[in-house]
Amino acid sequence: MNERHPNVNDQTKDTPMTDAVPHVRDNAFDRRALLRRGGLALSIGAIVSACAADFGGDTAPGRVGLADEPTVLPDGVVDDVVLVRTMQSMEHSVKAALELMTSEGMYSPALQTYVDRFVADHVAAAAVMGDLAVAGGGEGYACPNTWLMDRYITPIFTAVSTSDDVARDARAATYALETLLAHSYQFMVGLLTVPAHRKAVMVQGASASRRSATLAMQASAGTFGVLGPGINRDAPEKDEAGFPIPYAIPATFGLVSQFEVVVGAQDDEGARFSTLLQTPAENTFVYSYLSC
Amino acid sequence: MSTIPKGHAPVNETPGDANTPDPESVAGRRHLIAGGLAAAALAIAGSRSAAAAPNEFTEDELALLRHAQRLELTASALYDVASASGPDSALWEPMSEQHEAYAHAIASLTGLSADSRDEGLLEALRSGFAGKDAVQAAYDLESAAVATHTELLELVGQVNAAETIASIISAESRHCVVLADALGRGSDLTALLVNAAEPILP
Repeated sequence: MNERHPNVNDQTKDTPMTDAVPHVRDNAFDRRALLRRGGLALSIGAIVSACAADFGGDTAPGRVGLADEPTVLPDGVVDDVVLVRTMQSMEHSVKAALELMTSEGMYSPALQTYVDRFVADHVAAAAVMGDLAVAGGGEGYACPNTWLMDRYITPIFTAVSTSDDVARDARAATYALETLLAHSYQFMVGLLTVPAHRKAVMVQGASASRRSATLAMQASAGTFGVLGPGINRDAPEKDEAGFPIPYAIPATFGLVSQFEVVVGAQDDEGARFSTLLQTPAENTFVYSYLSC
Repeated sequence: MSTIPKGHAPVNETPGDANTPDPESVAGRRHLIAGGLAAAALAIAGSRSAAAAPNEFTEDELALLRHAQRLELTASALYDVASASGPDSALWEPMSEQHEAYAHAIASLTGLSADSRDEGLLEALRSGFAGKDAVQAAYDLESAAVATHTELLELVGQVNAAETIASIISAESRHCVVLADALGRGSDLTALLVNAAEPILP
C-alpha cells in the first residue's frame, strides 16, 4: 500500500478509534479478502476448464427424430450448355402446356389450328437447343422444366380449367407462355458467351416473338390496335375487366421484363388468379448435373 | 517510361552534394513518390478500362455495326417515303421512328454517328414503298432486316452490342406479323411465323 492510501491496519495503529478495531483486523473474511479469494477461485476454474483433456465425441448440435440426412446439391456452374438446356426445357414446358390445354378442349377451333403449329415449332426448337447442348460438350434435356411447371404452368392451367371463359383464358395463357419464351431467348443473349450460340437462340427467339405477336393480333388488335403503351401513350395496359391487353408491338425494342398473366374465374372478392412471369434465373436453370 | 524529371539528377546519384537531404527524409519522399506513381497508374488504368469498355470493337465489328445502322436509317427513310406517297397508314410513322431509334441505339453503343443511309438500297426499294405494294415491300424489308441482324449476332462478340441487336430482332419480328396481317395474310401461318428472307450483306 502506498502512503496516500495507507492500509487499514496501519491506520488503526496511528489512530485507534474504537475497541472493536482489533476484532476487525482479525476477521479473515473481510470484504477485500472475499473479493480476492473469489476472483482467484474463478480464474483457476477457468484455467483448469480450458486445459481440460479432450475426451473425443461429437460436438455438433444433436438431431431430434429420425429424418433422412438432407441431400447436398453439387455446385451448379452456369455456362452456355446450361443455358441452352434451360431453353430446351422451357420449350418442352410450353409444349406440354399447349398439349394439356388441347387435350382438355380449351381452344376454339380457329385457335387450335395455330396451337397445333406452335406445338410443332416447340418440338423443333427443343431439338435445336438439345443439339446445341450436345455440340457444346453437354447433354440435352428433353423434358419440361420442373420449376416452370410447378410455379407457372400448373397453377395457370388449374385456373384456366375452372374459368368462367375457358377459351379466353386458354388464349391468354398461351400468349403469356409464348411471350415468356420470346423474352427468355432474348435475355439469354446477354448470358451466352459464344456468338454462334447467341445467333442460334435468337433464331428461336424471333419465332417466339412472332407467335406472341400473332396471338396478340387475334386477341386485341381489333379493339386496342397493335402499338402498346411503350410506343403509344394512349394505349391502355388493361381492359375494363382488368385483363392485361396483349399488343403485337408492345414497345420499340424487344422486352425482357416480367409481365402479368390474369386467368381464371373471379373469387368471392372479384379477383382472378394472377402471376408474374419472369425470364429464367439460377433457380430455373437446368444445370449439367440434372437429368430427366 | 522514365521516372526522372528532366533537369534534375536522380536522387540516388547525388551522395556528395552539400544539399543532400538526410537519408531518412529521402527514403520517405521516395516512398511518397512511388506511392503517388502507383496511385496515378491505377487511376489511369481504372479510368481507361471503364471508358474503353463500351467501345471495344474490332474494325470489322464496327464496319458491320455501321452497316446495320445504315440499314435502319434506310428503313426509316423508306417508311417516310411510304407515308408521303401512298395511302395513309397509321403504321408508317411509328415504324419510321422505331427504325430511327434502332440506328441511334447502335450509335450509342459504338460512337458511330447515325448520319448516313445505304443510298443504293434506298433507291432500289423506293418505288416499292411509294406504290400500292408498300405493305409488301415493308414486310420484305423487315424480314430481311431480321435476317441481317441475326447474322450479325455471330459476327459481333461484344455482349452489349449483341443484347441490343437481339432486342431489335425481337421487335422487327413483331413488325413482320403486323405487316403480314396488314397484307391480308393474317391466317397464313407461313407469312406470320416463318422468316425466309436473306440477309442484306454489306
